[in-house]
Amino acid sequence: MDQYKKHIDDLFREELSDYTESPPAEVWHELRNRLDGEKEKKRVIAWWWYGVAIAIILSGIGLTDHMINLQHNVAMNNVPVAHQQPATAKVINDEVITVTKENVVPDTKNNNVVNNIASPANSEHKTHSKHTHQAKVNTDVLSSNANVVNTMPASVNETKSNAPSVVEHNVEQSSQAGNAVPTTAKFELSVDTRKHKIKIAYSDSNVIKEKMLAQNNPAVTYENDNVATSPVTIKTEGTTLPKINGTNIVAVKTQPVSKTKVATIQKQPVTTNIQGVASTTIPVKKINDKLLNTASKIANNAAKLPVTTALKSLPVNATLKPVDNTIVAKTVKQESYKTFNVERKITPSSANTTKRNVSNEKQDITASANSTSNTDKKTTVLSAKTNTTEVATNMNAVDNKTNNNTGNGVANKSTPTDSIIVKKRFRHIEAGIKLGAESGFQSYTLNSIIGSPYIQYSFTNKLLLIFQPGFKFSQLSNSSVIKPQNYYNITDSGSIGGTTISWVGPGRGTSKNYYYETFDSITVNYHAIKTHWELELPLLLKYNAGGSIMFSVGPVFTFGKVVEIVNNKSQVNVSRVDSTTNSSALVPAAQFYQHPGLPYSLYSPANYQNTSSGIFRFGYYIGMSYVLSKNMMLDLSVQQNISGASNIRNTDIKSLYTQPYFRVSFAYKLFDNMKK
Amino acid sequence: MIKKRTADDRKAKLDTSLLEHVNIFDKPLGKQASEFDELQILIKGCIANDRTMQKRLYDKYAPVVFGIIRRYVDDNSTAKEILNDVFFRVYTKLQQYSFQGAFEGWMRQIAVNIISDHFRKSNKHDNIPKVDPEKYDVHVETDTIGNINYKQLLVLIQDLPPTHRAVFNLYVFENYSHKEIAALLNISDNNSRWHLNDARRRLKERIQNFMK
Repeated sequence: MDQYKKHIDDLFREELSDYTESPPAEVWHELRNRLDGEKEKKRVIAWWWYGVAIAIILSGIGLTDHMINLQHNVAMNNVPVAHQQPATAKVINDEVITVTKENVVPDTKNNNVVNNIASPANSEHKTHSKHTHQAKVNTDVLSSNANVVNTMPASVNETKSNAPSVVEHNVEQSSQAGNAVPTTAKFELSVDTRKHKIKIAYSDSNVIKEKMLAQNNPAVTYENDNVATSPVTIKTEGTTLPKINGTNIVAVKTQPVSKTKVATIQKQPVTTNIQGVASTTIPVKKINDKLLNTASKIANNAAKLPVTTALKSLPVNATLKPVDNTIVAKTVKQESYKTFNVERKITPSSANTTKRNVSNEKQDITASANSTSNTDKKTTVLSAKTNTTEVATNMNAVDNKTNNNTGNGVANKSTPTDSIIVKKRFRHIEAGIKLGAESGFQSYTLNSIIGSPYIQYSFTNKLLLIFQPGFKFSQLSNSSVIKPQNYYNITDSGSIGGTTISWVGPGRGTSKNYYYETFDSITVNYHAIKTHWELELPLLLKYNAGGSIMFSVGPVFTFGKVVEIVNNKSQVNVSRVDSTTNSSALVPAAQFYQHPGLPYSLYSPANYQNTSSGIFRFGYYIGMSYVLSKNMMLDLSVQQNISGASNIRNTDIKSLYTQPYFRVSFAYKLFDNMKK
Repeated sequence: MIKKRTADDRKAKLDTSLLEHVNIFDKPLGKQASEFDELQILIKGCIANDRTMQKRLYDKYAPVVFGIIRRYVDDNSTAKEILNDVFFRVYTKLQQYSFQGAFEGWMRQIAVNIISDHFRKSNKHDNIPKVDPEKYDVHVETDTIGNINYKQLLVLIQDLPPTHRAVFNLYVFENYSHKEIAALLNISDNNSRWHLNDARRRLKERIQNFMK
């Protein structure tokens, strides 16, 4: 019965093992396009990556510009706050200290109020031209004997020619300053040691403004516990001129333009207070008593600062001259640092003479109107070096005609007594070393160890440039890239004449022909050199995204020989003999013998060995960094060559230079020019 | 002048170990030899990225490869895609072919690998152990199959579930062991057996139903 049965496997095997089917014609067309398009596709991908890199760089720049503008606006909208209450400090968590200060600004008749609070809605700067910013500076002068704490902790000397007295930078609230409504103001300062940031926030009942101060933010910086200098705050008060004693200063701030501009201020400029701000650096390594004390002092200091400022709002040189509300502004060529100059004329009035009492050592200056400190006709330049900025304040006070107009000023127009120069610089340079490991995820890949020094330069607190030349030592994952090839090289061949052994009919016969041949059998083995090294030169643009995370992108230039394929040949001489019969004619021996492999004439080592060219390659780098501690950083990155490897014939070796590599590295900071 | 040698003299110089190494006498003669030369030319041309040679190679072997693919894949567009992949890999890996072994076998191996890759991507297997069904007679009566042609058998295979189809093909046509199939398809040996037996059972039922 079994002979009538067939195993189902056999049934299918017999019927279908040789099954063939003609594929549709379009398959070949698609395949040909694929083969043609292989290079094009690679090129498109390369350009795509170029596009991504450029887009990231541009967006980084744009974002930074936006941030700068934002900070500018915020700074110009800063509302001065009266700080007469002691600060309270509390530890929010292990690493963050927040010092909060709140105060309700008293009514306008309270002489102890040291600030004007003006609604920023009145600030004309909101609509100021991008090229020219105009503001009027008002410094009120107190002549009373009231014990007023000079909350100007800066070292600013202001002199009067004849009758020196204390000049209060605190602006007496003008009874006519209708726009200075009582406002609940809040000052908050927090120190985040993990992020190395100082955060200052202002708020009042109308607005809430916040400014982040990174390491290189020059807005408010602190140096130890000592007040070293007095940066400037500009606050707009609206369009009304003060009618109290003091010095009216018209300030002009210009944006960088390529040529000099002269601008004339309008008759009713925005009035602006110029006040001092302390400058202190907070050690933010660890939370300890010292930091608590420091934070407390900062709060106290800040509490005494009627106005703070963000110097980013003063990006260029500006000369301020109060000449009947007429401003001559000069824009000078932008330099690596930026300055802001204010000049004013102070009337040496007899009774209401003003003097700014300055102490470099102490932050608090208690002064009376009668106190005298003659530093007449001197210009004091104050500077403070902080982590990121250098601030110099120089105030020249000259007579202000506005005072004359109000009847309080006495003409002495030629005495420059106070000037303000604010310089800010971004010169944060950091250097260190990086150690990392790198690998691809293909079968043929290079596993590398990379060591590199790096140097980092901060353009702004957000945008950095980093150069990290690295030495890369690599190990090839698999050295057998080509299978052994067999060749034959015939050295002697021939046929030995035929011997007729029989005749079949007339004219035909068979003969026994002998053939011999001597040839070399050559086996060529290939292997790739496993160890390999490269020098890479990445130039990266880094964007600080906040939260200890930074993104970097940029080109990488790589120098290094292509992984070399070497071969060795084993050659053996072979002789062989064979014969054929039933041949009526002698055929050439070369047609008789068949050989394994290829003729040796086809051996072309150039097909398997890499050219010496192509040692320079170009690629991209996209990475992310996470700040682990003050000195340690973790880098994760992807690198890929996009310059192609057309000089490499072997696809496996070529893949080494076209595949993406993933790298993990640790950076350790060795040098920081902002370190004290 | 040709030096005459005796056959013994010449044979004495033969190094038999080398013969084993180079397989001199395994190479085809006559008509087969010309095919071998043609193949060499084709392959060299393909390595040199000569489109004409690539087309000739394609014309010669595409029906064979497509026939293999059709047994595994019922979807037309997928079959074409796999054929494209197979020849693309053949062209890019051709320089690794060492002329040892049949070229068709080498291509067939590439095709099976790509089919398996595709199968693994598109099919998620449950690795729940299957209970082997009770012994089942997998023989069919010859008188019932007389009227079935190979195209109908192909349809029967294509109608099998994907895993059944893959296991059956690999076992029957490629002579893979269950261990090899399991590794290739990422399933267990036992499940491979189960799929094969179930495929046989289904095929037999289909054949019997077909003949009714």
